[in-house]
Amino acid sequence: MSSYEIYLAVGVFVPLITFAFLAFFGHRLGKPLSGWAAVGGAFISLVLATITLIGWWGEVQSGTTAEMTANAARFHWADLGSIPATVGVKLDSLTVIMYFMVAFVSFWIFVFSIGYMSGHSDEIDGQCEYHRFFCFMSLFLFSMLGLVVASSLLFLFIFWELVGLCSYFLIGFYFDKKFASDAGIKAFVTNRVGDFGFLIGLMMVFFFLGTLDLDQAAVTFEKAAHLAGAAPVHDYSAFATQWLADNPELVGVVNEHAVTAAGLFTSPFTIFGAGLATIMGIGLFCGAIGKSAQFPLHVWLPDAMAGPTPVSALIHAATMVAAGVYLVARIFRLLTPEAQMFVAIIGCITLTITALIAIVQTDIKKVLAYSTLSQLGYMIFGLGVGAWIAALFHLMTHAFFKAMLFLGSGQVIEGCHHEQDIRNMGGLRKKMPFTCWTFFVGVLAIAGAGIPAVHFGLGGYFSKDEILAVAYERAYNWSGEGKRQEARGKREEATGNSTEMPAARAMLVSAAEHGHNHAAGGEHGHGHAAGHDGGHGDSPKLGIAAMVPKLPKWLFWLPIIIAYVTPFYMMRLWWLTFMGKPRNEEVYRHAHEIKLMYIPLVVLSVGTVFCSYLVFRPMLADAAPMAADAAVIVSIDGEAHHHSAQALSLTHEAGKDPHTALIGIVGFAYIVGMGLAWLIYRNGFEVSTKIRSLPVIRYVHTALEKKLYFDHLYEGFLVPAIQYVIAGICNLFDTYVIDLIANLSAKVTERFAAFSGRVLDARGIDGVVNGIADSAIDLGNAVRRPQTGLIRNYVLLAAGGAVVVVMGVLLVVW
Amino acid sequence: MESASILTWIVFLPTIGAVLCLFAPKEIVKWVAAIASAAALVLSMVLFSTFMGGGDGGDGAEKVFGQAYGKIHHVLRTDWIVGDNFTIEYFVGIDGLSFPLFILTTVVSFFACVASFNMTKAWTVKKGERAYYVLFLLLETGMLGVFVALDFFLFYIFWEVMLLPMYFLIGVWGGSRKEYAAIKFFLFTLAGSVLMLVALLGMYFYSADAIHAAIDQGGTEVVRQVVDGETVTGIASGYREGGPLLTGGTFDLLEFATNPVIQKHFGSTAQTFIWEWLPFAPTMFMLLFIGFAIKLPCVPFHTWLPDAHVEAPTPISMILAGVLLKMGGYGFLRLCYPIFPTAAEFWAFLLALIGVVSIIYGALCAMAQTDFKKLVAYSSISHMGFVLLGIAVMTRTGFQGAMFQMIAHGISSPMCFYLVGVVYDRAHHREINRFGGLWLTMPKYGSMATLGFFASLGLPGLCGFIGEVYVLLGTFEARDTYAWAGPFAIIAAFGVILTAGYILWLIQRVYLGKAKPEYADFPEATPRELFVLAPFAILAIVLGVLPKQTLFNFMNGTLDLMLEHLGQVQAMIGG
Repeated sequence: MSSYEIYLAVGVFVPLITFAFLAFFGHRLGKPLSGWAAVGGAFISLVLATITLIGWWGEVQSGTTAEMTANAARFHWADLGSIPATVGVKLDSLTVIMYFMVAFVSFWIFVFSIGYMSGHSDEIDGQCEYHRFFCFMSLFLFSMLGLVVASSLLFLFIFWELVGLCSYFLIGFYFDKKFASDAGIKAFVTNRVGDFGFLIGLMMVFFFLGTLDLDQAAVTFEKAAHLAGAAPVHDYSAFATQWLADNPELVGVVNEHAVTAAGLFTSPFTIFGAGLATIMGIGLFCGAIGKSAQFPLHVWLPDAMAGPTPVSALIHAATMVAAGVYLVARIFRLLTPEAQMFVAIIGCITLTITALIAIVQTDIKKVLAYSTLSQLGYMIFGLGVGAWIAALFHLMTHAFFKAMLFLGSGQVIEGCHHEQDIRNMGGLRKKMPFTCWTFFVGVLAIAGAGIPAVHFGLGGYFSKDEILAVAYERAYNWSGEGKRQEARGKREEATGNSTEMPAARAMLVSAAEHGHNHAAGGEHGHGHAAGHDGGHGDSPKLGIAAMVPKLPKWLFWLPIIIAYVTPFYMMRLWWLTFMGKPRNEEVYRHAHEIKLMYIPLVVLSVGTVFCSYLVFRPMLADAAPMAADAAVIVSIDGEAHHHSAQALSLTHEAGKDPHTALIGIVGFAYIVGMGLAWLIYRNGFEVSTKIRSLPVIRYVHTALEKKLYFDHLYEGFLVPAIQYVIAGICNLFDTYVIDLIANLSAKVTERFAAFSGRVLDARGIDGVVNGIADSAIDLGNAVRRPQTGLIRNYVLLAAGGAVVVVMGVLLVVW
Repeated sequence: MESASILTWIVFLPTIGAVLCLFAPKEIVKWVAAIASAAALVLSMVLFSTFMGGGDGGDGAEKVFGQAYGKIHHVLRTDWIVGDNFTIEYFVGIDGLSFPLFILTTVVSFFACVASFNMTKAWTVKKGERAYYVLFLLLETGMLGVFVALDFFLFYIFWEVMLLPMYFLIGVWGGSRKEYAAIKFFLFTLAGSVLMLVALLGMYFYSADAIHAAIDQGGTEVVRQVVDGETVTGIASGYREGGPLLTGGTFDLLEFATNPVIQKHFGSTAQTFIWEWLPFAPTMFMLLFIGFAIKLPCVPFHTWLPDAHVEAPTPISMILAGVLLKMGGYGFLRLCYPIFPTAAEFWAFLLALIGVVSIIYGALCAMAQTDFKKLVAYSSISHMGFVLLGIAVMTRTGFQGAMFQMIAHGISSPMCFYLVGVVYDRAHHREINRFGGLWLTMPKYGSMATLGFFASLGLPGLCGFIGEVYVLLGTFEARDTYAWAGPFAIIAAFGVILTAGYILWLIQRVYLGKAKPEYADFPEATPRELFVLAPFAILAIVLGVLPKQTLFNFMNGTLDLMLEHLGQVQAMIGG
């Protein structure tokens, strides 16, 4: 157990202690001490995260990270049937960076909250709820950090749910308001819908891969892919037995579960053409759809803005919604090409529709919410197309600038006395210059502003464009066959000779090469058995990876178009808020900037500009090969392999600078988009009102304003259908059918008993029914006349009987 | 070191308390009752020493539970009622199956007793405090007895002993429709008991047939033993080496399960019950199953539960949900499965189906309720569906999950019912829609309530989650054996959405929102109320975080041995 694991683990539990402390003593600490206590806890976590990050940076430089990852400790938590469920710190670059990012952003948001909540916490019926806010914020930090370090899917799921719980409490923080608690419920239940899929995925992983540990699961999955390629069979357990009988020397060498797991690929069961392996991946991904608010479960995020603004910044911009993306990154190795395609399509749909909706929103926080959705869509899309590094890089940069944007909006809302509608703002730059310009940095960052030739830009310039560059590669330059050869070459280079590969495994692999690949299909499905290197060392080009198809063109072009829309709506937001003339004198006159709340803004904007590219990008590249085994990672530079020559890199490299590759297509999108927004909105809503009344646009505008009717569908139809109609029918059925049968049969028995008592018994015929029913009726009568004396008799009787029993027993015992 | 009489002491301590209550001065009756149940609780803690460290891997399981199913602890057995050709034994003992439930019973009973303290104040009519506690303590004896009885007849007697006090506790101290609810409870349970009685007789006589036939045939199982100078010819016991020989029918539950002669006789497909067309094992299994299913309860035998809960006073609801429902699950695991493993396979689909239907149907019904207590009652049905499902699929994970779910529900549901009771004491109604803002009025109580209901919701980190996820994983795991297991697991998993829906909706309507003026003067939870709630809250967290140390270690050994035993019997009968 390395010291990094200890740092990270301690850092996870410190906020939990803060939480417990505030839960019991928070109300005594009061305002603002309880806030500072929470900040203290977050600060310890941040310090530990920083120490780890610095230390880990050294490890990355010296190339010892893989070893440390492999040697991370695991603790035995419980047994799931016969399978041990372990827990430990998943120690790799991704964890370290995510951890740092979460701790860093959270710390500054905590600091911001002290200022913000001092004005906002007394709103619930005059009661001081200040400490409750920091209590749940601490619990959230604990859950989120726990999620990041979790080494097994089970624990990931546990923290995942805890994170959901915290968001439920924080969104519904002003719970005396109906809309706030409604939003909390919506968030939780929508997330549960996603978790339903997650659970299915979890069950499949548990059953087929025989473990819930992330690393082990991935390894088994990969082996299964080999085996499945060897011989497509339907009865996999028979196949497993046969296969092990044919290869006696491999018994014990090959993970037995890999053989069961082969069933994932060989089972004939499909849903819409997706095999079990794909379904498993999609199931797990469903969790991310819920948590990262992807289409069609994106509806909860905009409503979640009912929570206090720091909550929006912390949960709905920087950390929690990123958990879904993080999950996909973690399960990346379990995704088949079809599943990846599914991920990409979901991401693409989300980023498109939400960006369009963002154009017409007028609530400052709602615009940011939709832009968050759209950016999350980019990340998910990026993962789907194999841009693993770029997507996570985008996650990091986005966390910084979006947290800053949200805090900026909080400053605006606070400064304008709870005004959130941008139609009532304008010209605020004079009243709050600091906020105005930090906000503008955020706008530039999300727009992807930068200067291509000199390699300078803000967050989105590097990360989003890299995703797009990868998509371009996949859509235009991708040919599975060609890349296979290339990857094979690289592999041989990397491994040097076959000593890296145990003989057994090599045999497995070459068997896989011979086989018809049943699972993945596609034109590159047939492997070649090239027998150099002693007959069994040929390129273990995994069936799966070779199968990754070209990307449909629309999956490249839609994100490109939206890359023009993003700067447009962000510029619109900024301009309408801060520039131009004040549209509402009342609001303008009272507007002011709160000094206490700047510091976090400044820090985060500095982070936005510098920190991420220098540190995060190379470290992610270090983590990437760990994620790439069965799956394909496409990257635009060679960094990905620099530290990991020994890894089985199927990674494809374009070897190009994204900004030179796409300079003509997207390099100046930010100028176009922002310019257009300036043209339309420089005089407030004048021009846009005219545009809006154009014939076709009018309908589109209404549809977008109504958020494309998703809420209407869910809240107007689906939820009531279950909540009232189906549940109501069940209840009626219970009351009037099942219960009626019970009551009727009781009645019948009673009548029959009365009959038998009067008629049959009178003739001297005894029946069992008679006795039972009579006694029941007698008892009933007894109860109906609850005379104390009668009851006392019964009690005495019962007690007396019991005493006799006891006496008897005691006599026997002694 | 192992005391033979400790179980008997624990079981009958409440009875002694009941007797004392009869004669105690009126003012101290409740204290006598509390002390008696506290004594049982304290004494039951001694049992932990036996089970510490068990179930940890193969060695631990064997160390504590023996090599095969049937190894029990703190055994006390002696002839009780001896007839011409039958013997009913007083036979009690405890193993990993009954141990957690036994402890649960003493815990819930004690706190339910404390929860009863304000009953005389809260009752509109002051009636029979003394009688109440006497019946309460007798009920505790009955419950404890059921969990330790290993003679079927004794089991049956305890089962019935439990019934009568419960009937009066609901029928006398209940709400407005108490008579209806009490009779309904009584008749439903009695119907189950009758079926169990039929099974009891059937099993006794068929086991006698089996033993006699084996002795007549004089096969290899027949052993001769010299006892007091007389040579006895009989069959060796299935689980007691060197124990007395079987010469006729038996009521010994472990003997039924482990004796190969009886098992072959019971399990044979040619064996029929009364009529030629009625196969023996599946029939017996079904008779027992219905008896226990009524208690569990599962759809469609569940309608007594909401009525009984609604009418029962709060502490009795706690007992009912916390302990009585568990007897159904315990009955499956103690009687149905080890004794009729082949029938268990035969009925697996039906049982799992009932389990899944209970989960979904119970949740949907809960969603439609406007009565606070009825909602919790229906949620119990939904949760107990997981128990049935987990048992029905007969996987290791499923069994563990089912057992865990029983204990978890035994902690979360009494807590929920008590939470309802606390607010009922103040508001004197249970209409969910009339509440609102209680978290603001009663912050401590509100926090407890949130925790309790989230435990019930199955939130990770709290006890409800472990049971559910184990059952789901275990069910899916069974797709090796049963083609339907996968889809069933998925449908059951859908329940998590419904559960989240109705619990959150409940919390919103009762605890969130603006504080209503009519509830503004509600006092915060009293120290006594917190004293009852806190242990459940702590247990809910501890079990959720450390399931292995708190529960799995104690029961996994027995469950493993039982599963192993099931496999062996199936193989023996099949071969």
